[in-house]
Amino acid sequence: MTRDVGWFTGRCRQARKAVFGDRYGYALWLGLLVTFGLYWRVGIFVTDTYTTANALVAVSNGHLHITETPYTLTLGAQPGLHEAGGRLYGRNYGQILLAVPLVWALQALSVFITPRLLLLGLWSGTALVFVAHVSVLGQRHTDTAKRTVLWVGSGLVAVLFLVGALTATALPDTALPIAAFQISTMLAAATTGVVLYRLVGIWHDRSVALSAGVAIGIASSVGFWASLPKRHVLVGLLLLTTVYLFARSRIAYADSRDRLALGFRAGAYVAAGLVTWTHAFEGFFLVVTLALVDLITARRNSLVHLAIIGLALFLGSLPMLVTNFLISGNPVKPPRLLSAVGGANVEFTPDTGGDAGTGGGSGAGGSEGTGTDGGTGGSGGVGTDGGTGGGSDGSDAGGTSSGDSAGPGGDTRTPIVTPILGLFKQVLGPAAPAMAFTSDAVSGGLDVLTTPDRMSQIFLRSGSAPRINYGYNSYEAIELTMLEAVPLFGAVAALPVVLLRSANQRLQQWDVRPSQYSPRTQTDLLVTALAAVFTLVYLSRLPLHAQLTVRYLLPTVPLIMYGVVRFPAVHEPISDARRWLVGGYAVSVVGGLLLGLGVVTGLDLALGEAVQLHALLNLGGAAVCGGTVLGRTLAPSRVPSRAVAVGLSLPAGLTTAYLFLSGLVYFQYGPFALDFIRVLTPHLPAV
Amino acid sequence: MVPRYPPTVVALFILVTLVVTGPLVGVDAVRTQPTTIGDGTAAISSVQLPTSEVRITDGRFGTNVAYLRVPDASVTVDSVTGRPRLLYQVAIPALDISREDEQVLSKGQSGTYRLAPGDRAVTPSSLEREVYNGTVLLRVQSFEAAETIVAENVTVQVDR
Repeated sequence: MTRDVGWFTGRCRQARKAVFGDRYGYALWLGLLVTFGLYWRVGIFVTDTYTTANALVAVSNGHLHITETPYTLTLGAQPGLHEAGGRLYGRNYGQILLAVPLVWALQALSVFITPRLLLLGLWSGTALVFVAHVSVLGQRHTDTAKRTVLWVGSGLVAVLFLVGALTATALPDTALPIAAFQISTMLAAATTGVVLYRLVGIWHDRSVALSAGVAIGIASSVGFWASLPKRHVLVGLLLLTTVYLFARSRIAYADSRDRLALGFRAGAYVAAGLVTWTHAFEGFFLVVTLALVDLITARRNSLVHLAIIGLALFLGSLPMLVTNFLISGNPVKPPRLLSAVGGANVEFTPDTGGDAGTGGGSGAGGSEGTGTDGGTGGSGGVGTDGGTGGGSDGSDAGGTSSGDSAGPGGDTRTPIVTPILGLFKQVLGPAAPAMAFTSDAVSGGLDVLTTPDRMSQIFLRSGSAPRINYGYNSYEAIELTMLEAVPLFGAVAALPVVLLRSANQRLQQWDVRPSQYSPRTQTDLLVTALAAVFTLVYLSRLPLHAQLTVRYLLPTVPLIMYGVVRFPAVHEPISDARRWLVGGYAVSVVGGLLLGLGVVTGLDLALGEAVQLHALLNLGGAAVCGGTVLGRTLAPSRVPSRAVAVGLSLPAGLTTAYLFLSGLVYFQYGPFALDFIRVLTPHLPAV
Repeated sequence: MVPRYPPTVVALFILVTLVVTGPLVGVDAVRTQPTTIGDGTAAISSVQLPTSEVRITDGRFGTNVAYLRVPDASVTVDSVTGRPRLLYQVAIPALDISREDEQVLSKGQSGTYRLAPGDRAVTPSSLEREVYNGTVLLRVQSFEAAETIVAENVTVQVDR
C-alpha cells in the first residue's frame, strides 16, 4: 500500500516535471491560475460565446448538434451557428471538447458541493498548493523561513475562504458548463505562461524565463482573455507549443540525436494539426508556415522522416476530420464552411455562400454517427475515416504546402481506393473557395500594410477609430490597439536595429545553409514567420468592433513576447537587475491601480473614457520601454541595466493594473466567481 | 495522527466545510440573492440625487463622443417587506436615450444603496440643440405597489 502510494507520487512528480519543467514552472502555473480567478466573472462577455457555450452543453450531453439552449432564450439568432442536414451546430469543437471533461467533473462534484462553494473551494485549493510551493522557493532565494510563508499564506487563504463561504450567494446550476468553459481557457492561458517559461528557459537563465512567463500571463492581453472562453488563447497556446517542440527538435538535431529530434518534430506537427480542430484556417496557415521553416532548417529530410511528420500531421488533424465527418459527412469541411444561420457574419472564413451540395446528401451519415453516444460515435468515425483520412490529409496538407507535405501524405495513404474517390470530389468542393480566400487574406493584408492610418489604428493609437462601428459597443471607445493592450511591445522599437545587426552577421557567413544555423536562430526564424503570417492574414479585417485588445492577433502575442525577450537589450538587464525589475513592477502595479481608481472617481469617468485613459497611460509606458530598450541596443554601455529594468516593469505593471480594473470595475457581465471579491467591489468606484 | 502542515490543515477544513454545506449534508450556507422583483414594499427615509448634475458633455481622452452624464443616487431604505425593487432612471426622450439602474431589495435588507446607472455615450452628430428636456425618476416598485419617490423634469445643458 505505502509502496503503491510512493510509486504513484513518484509518477505524479515525473508527469509534473515533464509538463512544467521544474518547481518554478509549476508555481508560475498555479500563481497565474490563482490570479486569473480573482477577476473571473461567471458569464458570457462576447456574443459568439452563446453558440459555443450551448454547443458545449450539447457535447457534454453526448451529441454534437445543439438541441437545448441554456444560455439563450431561442436558438437561431446567435453568431457562429451553422446548419447541416437540418441540425444546428456550433463551431470551434476542439476548444469545446477540451472543456467537456471539466463540465463532467464540475457536475460530478456538484453532487456533494454546492456550485458556488465548489468554485471557491477549487480556487482555495489551487491557492494552497501555490503557497506550499512558494514557501519552498521563498526559503531558497530569500531569508524568509519556509514556515513563515506557509503559515501566512495558508492563513490568508483560510480567511478568504471563510469570507467567501460566509457571504456566499447562490449560483444557478446552468452556470457550471460556462464556468467549466472559462476554466478551460484559464488553464490554456496559464499553460501558455509555462510553455513560454520553458521555451525562453532553453536559451536564457531562469529569471528571464520566469519574467517572460509572468509577463505573458498578467502583463499582456492574454490575461484579459484568460477567463473569456474565446478560441484565441487556446490557438496561441498551440502555436507556442508548436514553436517549443520545434526548438527542442532543432537542439536534438544539432546534438545528432536524430531519433529524439524526429519525435519532437512530429510533436510540433501534432500540435499544429490540433489547431485545425478549433479553427481550420488558422491551423492551415500554421501548418504551411511550420512546414516551410521546418523543411528548410531540418538537418535530415529523409523519406522516412517526412513520412513520419506527415503521419503526425494527420494524427493532429484526425480529431478535426472525425468531427467534420460526423457533422457534415465531409471530413475536410469544417463547421465554419457550413451555411451560417441567423445572418450574422462568420469571421475569417471563405465565403462559400450556400453550397449545400456536400452537406445535404451526407447529413444522414453524420447524424448517425452523432446519434450514438460520444465514445462509439467517435470510434466509428475513426474506423471509416482511416482510409479517407489519408486521402484527405493529402489534400489538406497539399493545400497546405503543395509539394512538401503531399509526399508524406502519399506515404501514409492506406490503399483503400473506392471511398477516397468519392471523398475526393467532396474535398474539392470547399477547396476552391478556400484557396481564393487564402490568397485574398494575404493580399488584403498586404494592402493594409501600406495604409499608415489603418496600421496606426490597429497597432498604435485607438481613440475613436473611424473604421470601427462603435454602435455595437453603445458608442464606447473600448477597442484598444496592440500597443495600448500590451505596452511591453514598445520594446519592438529596437527591432530594426536588431534585424539589421543579425542580417549583417548573416551576410558575413553567407555560405552557411539554414539547416546549419544554430537551433536558436532556427527557432527565431519560425517565430518571426509565424508572427508575420498570423498578423498578415487578419489585417484586412482590422480594425474591428468587439476586439477589445485586437483579439484576432492574440495568438501572436506570446510569439512577440518571445521575440522581445530575445533582444539582448531586454534579457541582459532582466538577469542583471532583478530587484529593480520586481520592485519597479510592484510600484507600477500599485501606482496604476491607484491612478486608475483615482481618476475614475475624481473625474467621474465613463467606460470609454476610463479605457482610453489606460490606453494613454499604457502608451506612455510603451514609450519609456521603447526608449530604454532602443537606447540600450544602440549604446549598451550608456544605458544601465537598472534603467531598462524600470523601463520594462513600468508598462508591465500598468498592464496588470488595467487587467484588474477591467475585470473588477469596467466590464461587468456576470457575478464574480469568488464572493470575497464581490463583497469588495461595491467599495470601488463605478464607471 | 494530527496533520501539522498548514496547507493540509486548511485544506481539510475547507473540504469539511464544502461537504457539510453541500447537498448531501445540507447545512444551508448559500444566500439566494434576489434578482427578480416580487411583492412587497420599502420605506425610503432619505434620497440624495443631484439632478442638476445631469448634463451632456464631451468625452475625454480621445473618445470622440459626447456623454449624457448621470449622477449616482444614494437611497437610504428603512424597512423592507417582500422583494420590491428600487428603480432609478434618467431619460432624454428627444434623443431616445436613457440610463437606469435597479436594486432588488429583500426582507430585512435596510441600509443605504448606491444606484449608479453610469454615463450614456451619444454620437456628437446626433446633438442638434443646446438644451434638452430630460426626466429623472426614482421609484419603488413591486407587483403589488408602485411608489414614486422622485419625478422631475430637468433641463439638460449641452456643454461642448
